Amino acid sequence: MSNLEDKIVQNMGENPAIFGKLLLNNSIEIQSSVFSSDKTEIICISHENLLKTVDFLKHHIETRFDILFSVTASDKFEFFEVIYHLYSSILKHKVIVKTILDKINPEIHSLTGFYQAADWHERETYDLLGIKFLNHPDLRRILLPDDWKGYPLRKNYIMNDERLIWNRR
Amino acid sequence: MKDLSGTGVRGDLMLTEEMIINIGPQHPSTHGVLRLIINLNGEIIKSTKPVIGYLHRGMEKLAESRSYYQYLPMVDRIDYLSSFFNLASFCYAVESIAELKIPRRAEYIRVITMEFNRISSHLMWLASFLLDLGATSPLFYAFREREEIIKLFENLTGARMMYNYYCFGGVKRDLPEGWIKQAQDLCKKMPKLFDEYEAIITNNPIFLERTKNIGILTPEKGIEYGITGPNLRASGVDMDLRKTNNYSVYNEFDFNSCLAYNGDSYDRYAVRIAEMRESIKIIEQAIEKLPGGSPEKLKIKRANCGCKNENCEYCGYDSQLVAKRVNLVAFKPPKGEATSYVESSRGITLCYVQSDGTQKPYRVKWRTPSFSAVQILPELINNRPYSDLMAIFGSLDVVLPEVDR
Amino acid sequence: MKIIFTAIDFVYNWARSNSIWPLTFATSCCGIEMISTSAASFDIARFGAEVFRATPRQADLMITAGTVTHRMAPALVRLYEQMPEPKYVLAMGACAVTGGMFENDSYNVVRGVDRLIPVDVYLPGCPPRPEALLDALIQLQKKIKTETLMERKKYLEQHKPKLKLPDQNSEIMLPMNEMGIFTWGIQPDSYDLNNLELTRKTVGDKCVKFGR
Repeated sequence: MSNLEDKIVQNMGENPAIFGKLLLNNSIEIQSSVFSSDKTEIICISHENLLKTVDFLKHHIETRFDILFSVTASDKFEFFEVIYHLYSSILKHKVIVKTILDKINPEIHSLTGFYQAADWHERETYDLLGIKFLNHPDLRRILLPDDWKGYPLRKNYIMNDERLIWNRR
Repeated sequence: MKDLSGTGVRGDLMLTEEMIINIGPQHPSTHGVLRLIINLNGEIIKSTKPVIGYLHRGMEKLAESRSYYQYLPMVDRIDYLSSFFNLASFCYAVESIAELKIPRRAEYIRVITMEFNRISSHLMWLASFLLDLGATSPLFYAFREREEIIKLFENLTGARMMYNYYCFGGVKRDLPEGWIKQAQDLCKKMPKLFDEYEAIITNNPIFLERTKNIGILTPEKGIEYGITGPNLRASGVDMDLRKTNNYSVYNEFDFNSCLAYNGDSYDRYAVRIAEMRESIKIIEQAIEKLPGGSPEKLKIKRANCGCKNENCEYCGYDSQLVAKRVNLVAFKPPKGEATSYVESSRGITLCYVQSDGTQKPYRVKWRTPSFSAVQILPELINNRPYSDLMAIFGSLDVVLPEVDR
Repeated sequence: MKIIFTAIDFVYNWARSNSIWPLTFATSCCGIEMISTSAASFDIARFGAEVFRATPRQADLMITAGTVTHRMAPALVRLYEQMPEPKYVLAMGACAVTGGMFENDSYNVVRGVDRLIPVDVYLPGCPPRPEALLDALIQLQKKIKTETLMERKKYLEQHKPKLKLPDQNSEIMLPMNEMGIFTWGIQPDSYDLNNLELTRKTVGDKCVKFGR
């Protein structure tokens, strides 16, 4: 895992901006903080620090991120990358939080304790990518039929469900 | 007992006095294919479980095997009633990655088409909401205006519903001749036509009885669940992305964001009617201030001027339609990722695009506002009689293809 | 005898074809064009199809407007089985005819409604204009007018769904033992009130089995 971390830090560079500096001043460790193409700050953390970071970001007086727009994930070839979009309706700023997960056993804490909106978004991420969220109240498939085989949005997905017989030419 | 563990239905309730009723995927309302499994005790609803996924077409996976330009026509079909907003959010995200600057005339045309689309989407909502409550004549009134707007769009883009008009860097072709006069005439006519059906709906005692104090959404709950758009503004929270995060050229227009303070179904109706009137104001201002003026005038002035100066009003950069000719086949934006937030007719649509330097996007994610609205439905209809179900669900303005993508 | 039948045929078909009652089965974008057709600008009521029934038990025609996915397919076949004879199907839009723009590589879309139920009229377009829907309706009326009463059995045999879906899905409404609700066409073998198990058998052996 530390090999992966080195690679990421090399790629993105160390450049803590506003929220990154704030987190470091309050002794929450982050891995890096970069800017996306549309000038939004992306904070990369490790998955053990997720709950502490989100707690800080939701309640601290200078950040107050009270809306979770979406939870999503992306299948890079060596690892999974989970992405959270946060927005503040009081101070009107936005931030993106990213973590990195193993490919073999992707598990991460669920944010349903902080935001109720995370409930269905995490179910959808589990449905399409197979990432398990610990302490989720009701983790089961939401968009695909309940007995579907496989996780479609993975890059190595093969269509091998039984219902696809109907589409044979 | 049959094994019910995967279905979400509570087996211990099957032998009690409560009844499990299934409002199946095909039902007479026009919102789409949503299935609700309801526990009823007499006429009072005890709990609900929405089941979605009946229209999951795999839009996010399909993006990974098509080039950026080939994916544009599919983006329309995610929410077919506000397809200009979906196009706009995808185009803004890709333009952020590729660092394309959009000329001002194209931005103004985008704003005009988006606001007309907002009006036509709200008219469709009005027709289906009142049809669910039992009133059949507002359907015909609302579709009368909607057909006028759709005729405008057909003159502009060639299609009645799925337009495919924006491209990366601007719009595809200019306004046709006579379009601006048609649009101005329609904007003058519309407030009086809105008054016509407000006269039969707004003070109607049956409508007031069915929607006042029903389905009250508190602001804290709305923010917890991620609700945005007119649903949240009807509860008093002033969050309108057109005013707070100035994307596009909305900061050059003078309009108000519409708020109400009770949060019930009647307020959601009132907020949408007020938004339609504000959209007309925006369109009128945009048509007056259009850089370069109407297309006939622009053609003549360009021919007379011919100066090729950058800052000239008629030949310069700002009166063009597309930033630079993007090679559609070999369009390869650099590595990067971007998110774009657009205030569409139902809430905030978020499009997150990751690109890895090749011709096809690496990952596209759509976050649509109706997803949160269906998630909050069980909270709003708990312990209410069965006849309030449609009064609440209709006022939330849910379009199912947006939920399932 | 045959002369009497042709006269009766003429009147019978004329009455049936000018009062078709469609079923509202709008899944997706084509549903909006269907509603536009029934609004005031392009009136479908002048062709007799004014009354859109919400329940399949009272409908003649199923206009499948929109994409059909793997999760929706059992519901579609069940609705088709619940419609009484004589019934017709109009596949509206590119997604219902062949799968449309999702035909190439979508993992959850059924490539055309005619893999599940027999279709009478196909109407391409994405979405088809309301005038095109009216044209398809007129074609269907012409088809109805050429039918005869003497060959009703042949039509009955053509109107069967193409797939009988297995019954262990969670998408179908769960039957309650004590109230004795059964699904159409499938009879229970026995109840065992101590066990509350419902054992059932299917109609014939014409089901397609999905084992691997």
